[in-house]
Amino acid sequence: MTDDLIDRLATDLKPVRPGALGRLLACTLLPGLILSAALILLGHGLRPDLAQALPTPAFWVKSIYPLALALIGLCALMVVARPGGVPRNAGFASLLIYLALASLGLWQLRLSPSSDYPNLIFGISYWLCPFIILVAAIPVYGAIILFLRRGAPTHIRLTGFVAGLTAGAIGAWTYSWGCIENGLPFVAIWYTSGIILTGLIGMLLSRRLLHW
Amino acid sequence: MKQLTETELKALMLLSLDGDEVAYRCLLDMLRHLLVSYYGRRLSRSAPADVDDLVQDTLLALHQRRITYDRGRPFTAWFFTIARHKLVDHYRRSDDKAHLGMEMLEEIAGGYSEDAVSARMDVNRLLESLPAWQGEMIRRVRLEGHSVSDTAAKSGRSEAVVKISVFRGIQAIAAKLKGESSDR
Repeated sequence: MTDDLIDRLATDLKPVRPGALGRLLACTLLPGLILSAALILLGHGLRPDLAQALPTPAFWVKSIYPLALALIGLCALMVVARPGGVPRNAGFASLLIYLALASLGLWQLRLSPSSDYPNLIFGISYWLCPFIILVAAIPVYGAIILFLRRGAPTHIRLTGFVAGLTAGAIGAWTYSWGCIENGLPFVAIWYTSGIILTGLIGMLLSRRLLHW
Repeated sequence: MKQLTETELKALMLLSLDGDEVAYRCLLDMLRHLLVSYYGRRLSRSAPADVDDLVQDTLLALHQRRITYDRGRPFTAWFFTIARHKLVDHYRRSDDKAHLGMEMLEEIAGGYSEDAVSARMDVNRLLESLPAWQGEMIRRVRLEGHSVSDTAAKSGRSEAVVKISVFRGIQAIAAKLKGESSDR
């Protein structure tokens, strides 16, 4: 029996180039990213005032915050995809990014009259924002799961959490091109909620999706 | 059969990743024997059929997931993390909670985490400081879990010699470690 198996595996051997895992992640992620962008573009639309928003720092902070989290998440995915992998610095790095955003948010509040506070904190879409991020994250989450199913994650719940957070961060990034809010406190609260919500759902689904 | 060391297994794995079928066949065959003893020792109450299943399952996992092997890292640590994953899954499926608890505790206590991997590399470095045959005895008895009589039979030495050389070797390592920490 085992002899047959070894025979079959040896005949089936194809070379694996160095860096193959990273390329696999890039190749599976790309369709997920395109689908997420398409969902935002077709289902929500680019923000109508994009031309006015582009020169403002608030727009870029709102876009760079989830992008930075996504990059940390992708590095963490490369770690958890390997047996025994635990991304030790990812949590700390994400916290630093969050604190940077929170400080910018507090600074923005300081510079604004208090009549603007509700707009900067709740905007007009706070109750919807986390769910739009969740929807935009679904195709990315699917892509990441496909990637991980070819990997060998051994800390399954942690891996599902990292997969969800990364998908959420990428979903939040695509949404940042459609979202009309300009408040950084809004981003710090509601974007982060959307990303964490996606992370928790990713963790809940992990046992079923990532078992091997 | 001769037990291969980390260096040799890793060399075989690297050749396999480059597509060398002969090396791969050899690697799978070596690992199969390692796995039979690894699972055999941990599934004392189960049928040998379970051991066979687990061995095949693990070899298949190695094949399908070899993309996750990082060429810069130790091979055995990577491979036995997969083997342990399959073992824990087996305990879970067979509802063997007592075993599962122990296995998880062991995992928390160190297992094959990054720290344990670097500790393993330190152990290898320390063993290399001993005469080759003495390092090999310690590796077999203490690290790979072979019995003293087994090791004695394979190396052609008496059991007493094996026991004493393992003991003296560990004493020498301990002395070396003390020296290292007082140097700092």
